[in-house]
Amino acid sequence: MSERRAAPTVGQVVLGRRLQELREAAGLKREEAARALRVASATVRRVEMAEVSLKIPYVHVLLTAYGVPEDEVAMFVDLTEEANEPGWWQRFSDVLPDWFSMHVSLEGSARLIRSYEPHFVPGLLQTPEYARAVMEAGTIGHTGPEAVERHVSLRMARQKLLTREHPPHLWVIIDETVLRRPVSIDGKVMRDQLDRLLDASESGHVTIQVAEFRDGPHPGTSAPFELFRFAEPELPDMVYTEYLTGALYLDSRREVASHLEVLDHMTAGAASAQRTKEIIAEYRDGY
Amino acid sequence: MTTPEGAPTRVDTSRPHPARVYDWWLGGKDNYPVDEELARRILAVDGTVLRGARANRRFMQRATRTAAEAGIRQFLDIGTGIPTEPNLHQIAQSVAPDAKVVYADNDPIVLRHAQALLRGTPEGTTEYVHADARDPETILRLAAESLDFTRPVALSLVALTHYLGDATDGDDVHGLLKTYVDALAPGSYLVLSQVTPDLSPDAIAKAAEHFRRSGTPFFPRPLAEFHRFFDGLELLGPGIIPVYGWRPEPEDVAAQAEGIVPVYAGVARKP
Repeated sequence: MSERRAAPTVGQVVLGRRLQELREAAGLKREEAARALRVASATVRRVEMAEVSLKIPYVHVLLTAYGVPEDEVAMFVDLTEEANEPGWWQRFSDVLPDWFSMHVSLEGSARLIRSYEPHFVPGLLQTPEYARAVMEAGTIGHTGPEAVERHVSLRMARQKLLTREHPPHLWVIIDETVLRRPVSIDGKVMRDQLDRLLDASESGHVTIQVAEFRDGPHPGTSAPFELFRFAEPELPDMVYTEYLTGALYLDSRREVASHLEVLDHMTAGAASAQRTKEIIAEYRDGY
Repeated sequence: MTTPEGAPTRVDTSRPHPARVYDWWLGGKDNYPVDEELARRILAVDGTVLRGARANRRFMQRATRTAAEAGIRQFLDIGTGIPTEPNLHQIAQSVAPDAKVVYADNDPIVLRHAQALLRGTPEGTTEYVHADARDPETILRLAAESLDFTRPVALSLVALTHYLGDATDGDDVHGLLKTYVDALAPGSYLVLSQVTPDLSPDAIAKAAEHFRRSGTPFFPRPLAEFHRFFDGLELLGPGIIPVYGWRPEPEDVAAQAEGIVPVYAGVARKP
């Protein structure tokens, strides 16, 4: 389990892991790599773990020490420069806590996003009005209306990943509570939001399933969480889960597998995507 | 998902599941530590399983393409497993966008994965049936909601029959296959691959023992037994052959250099 305060991009994580593999393939220990760089071996570890950003001169020295051919070094340097580019979300740094920017990077790079939402419509599928209502209720006193608007804008900007070319597949399981709980006294907010869910579920890359009340308890009794899977086979799945003042990013095999297992049990027990459309439509007509 | 009424939604993830063991061999991430453990244990006694799993996937692709190019527009895949790109409907619908594909699996988790992630072309149909291969009546009845069995269908059971026993084990796999084939129209295809003890008997015996001990009976079959699945059908060239050798593409020829794969494959046409 690791709590990250700094926020590496996914590209940096991939490259860090790749550096580690190349070092191990060259039969070098971290101490030996550190000697080539004239740094402490802890620095090599931090580079490989993407805890510090990759410096181009370091990349050159390390890859040469690992006996990587020149053309591959050049390719690696290009990738490093790309990975070091700040993400689009940096312009929201006024309202974006450090612990959440990693999340934005992960979801933007994921090929598959699976999530479990017990309370609210997943952020990527919210309408602006729904998002605003949830945020106004969720901030206790110390956030002004301007900050709320900035948060809503950030959330809407995140949603662009669903309409880009080659969008990720979004597979969400929502508890029936989500449909049952109005976030506003204005029924239109819920009607529009549920229409949005119905539209999304028609798209080929969004799957929504409802865990119905009538099916009783389910294994998703913990906090909401998301599981990200990446196109790069060497990257492990990552699980993101939030608490009041921060978030956890889990990537150990055992912890990720436990979350995967919960999602799999829930997907088997929840209403099918087809049946879910009917359920959402029924609730929609009730608002 | 089409489910027979009252079909139990049994989910037991405390024991390894063959589809997830297979997923680990293919380098997938939809498996749990218990599956990985068995996958590794089998890999230790039979070093061919990684390339065997890949070879089965590639065979499914070549056989599906062959059937689609021969004009078949309906596909029934039993024992679909965890989605792995490219999937059967992608191959079939890349040849013929209007191809109809029905996937059947008995595991609710596996099937939900297929349902969530295997989306076909708008012109074609991609459907999912929750039923067991041992229950051909149910599979055929539910598949018939999407497929027209008076017209040719390519029926595939890729790397599945080695999980089904003989009459003496209560499964009668040859009888099951006959029931399926009897339901097919003339011009239909049967696509099969399965593990054999013929090529590396010791390794396969050990692998089978690991499967059995984990609660999954395993039935490798010699050539004559595999051949019997195709009784009354016309085998397409080159006949029954170790899986990489079935109409290999350059990539398969290259893969053959890695060594044997103790899996037979064959495709036959119903006259």
